[in-house]
Amino acid sequence: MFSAGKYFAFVWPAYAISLGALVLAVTVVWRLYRRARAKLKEFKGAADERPRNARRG
Amino acid sequence: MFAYANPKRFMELSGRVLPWLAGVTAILFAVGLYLSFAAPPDYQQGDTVRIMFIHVPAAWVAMMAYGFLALASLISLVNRHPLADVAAKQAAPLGAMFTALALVTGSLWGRPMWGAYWVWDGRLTSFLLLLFLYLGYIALRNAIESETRAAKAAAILALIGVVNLPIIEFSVQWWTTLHQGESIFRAGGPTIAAVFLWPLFAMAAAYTLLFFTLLIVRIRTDILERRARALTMGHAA
Amino acid sequence: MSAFVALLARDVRLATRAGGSAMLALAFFAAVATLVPFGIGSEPKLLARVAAGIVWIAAVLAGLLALDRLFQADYEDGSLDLLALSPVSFEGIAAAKIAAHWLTTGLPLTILSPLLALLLNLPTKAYITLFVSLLVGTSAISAIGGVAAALTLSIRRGGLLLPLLVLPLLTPALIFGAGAVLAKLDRIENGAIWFLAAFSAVAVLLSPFLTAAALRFNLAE
Repeated sequence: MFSAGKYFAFVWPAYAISLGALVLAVTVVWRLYRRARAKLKEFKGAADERPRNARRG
Repeated sequence: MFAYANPKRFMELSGRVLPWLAGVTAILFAVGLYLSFAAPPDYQQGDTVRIMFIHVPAAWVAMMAYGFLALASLISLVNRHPLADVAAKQAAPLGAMFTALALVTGSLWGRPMWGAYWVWDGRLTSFLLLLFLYLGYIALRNAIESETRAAKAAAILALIGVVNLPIIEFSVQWWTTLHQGESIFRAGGPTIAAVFLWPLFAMAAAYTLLFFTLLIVRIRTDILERRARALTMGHAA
Repeated sequence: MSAFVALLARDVRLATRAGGSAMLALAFFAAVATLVPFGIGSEPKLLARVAAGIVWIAAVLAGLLALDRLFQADYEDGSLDLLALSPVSFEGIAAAKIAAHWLTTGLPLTILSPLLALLLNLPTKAYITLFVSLLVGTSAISAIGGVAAALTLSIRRGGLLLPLLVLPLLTPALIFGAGAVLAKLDRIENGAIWFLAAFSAVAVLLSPFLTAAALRFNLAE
């Protein structure tokens, strides 16, 4: 009833959208986190801020 | 669990756990994606069966996240655990995203299967309603100005939603059997062949860990933002 | 007990006066139902099939319309704070207001439904089923709507949020309510009306407590 190769046309958009959305989510979540961290540093000053190892630069 | 009640302790613990969690998530995605494309095409569905490997995990996380949301809401109402409400608040947008992904992938799966991008199948319809439940929660939280009131109102809404969710699913299932004779969304058929189970489990694990990774980062962000707010108010005083 | 009745009577009077929510809901209900043939065509067989659903949808939307003002008016002019000080418990206030909402929207809609069924060409054998389904189901609309109205109390223009909150929660009522009528038309026994009754009973029983909880923390600050 279905021929194998023909319906790949729906597979790649599904994967593209899913993985794209997840990558976007990770990027946004991480960016928001770094922004919050930067803001806090700004308010606290460098005095008692322990150096944190960032996973990404 | 109450060891994490102190936000400071949570930050310490999550800071140590997070890199590992993220690393394992990435590995699981790599493995899962490889397996998804290494798996053979299905006898009936052809390559379309691969959509199952990103649809079912998204759907699973969407449901699990709502359960998590409800549990966190209950704890925040009953125990007043300080981080429970933060966890609930941050879980909602994540859950909504996975629900939307489940709907989109389900729709793309439906087109080759039944010739239509949307069918009023029991599963898809339930997920549409689940998305509304999430959106309602988020909207309610954002619309109420007072943070404490918003938290309590949203918590009640989440609990009503979680109680109603099985009823909604039951009624939708009942309704589809009236019109279509049987639920057509059976992933891969009555029994899934073992060769499809491995990619499915790998991706399901990857999606689940991704949810918790993102959730932990969001909670940490929330804690940092609160600290910053407290400091600015201190300066203003 | 008499304080409860007094509150109930007051709310009913307020809703039924000119420009009150009762008239508005009824007018809306009639408007939706009569607009449908213009929208989908007046072919008798088609109308007969969709009549139950249309009437039910109109009932849900009309009930929603009246919810906005359920607590809002009293909240804004301070009456709700006064009520909180009265001998009636919050649960009593909630129950009285939800009951008043049902008496002024759900019940009139139910009574009006046979007329609309006539206009929409519903076969006569299903009239009683429609009537009973609405009689039972509108109580769920008032109950669940009441909780949502209390939750959105402090929001300006909170009424815009109400449909989003309430509609997913009311879907079972709509499914079973309209489903009961369709079952009658198709001569099937599928217990829809009993599911509806169970759903409504639980909603009605739990709503005063949930509504009261929402009222409490909304008035607390």
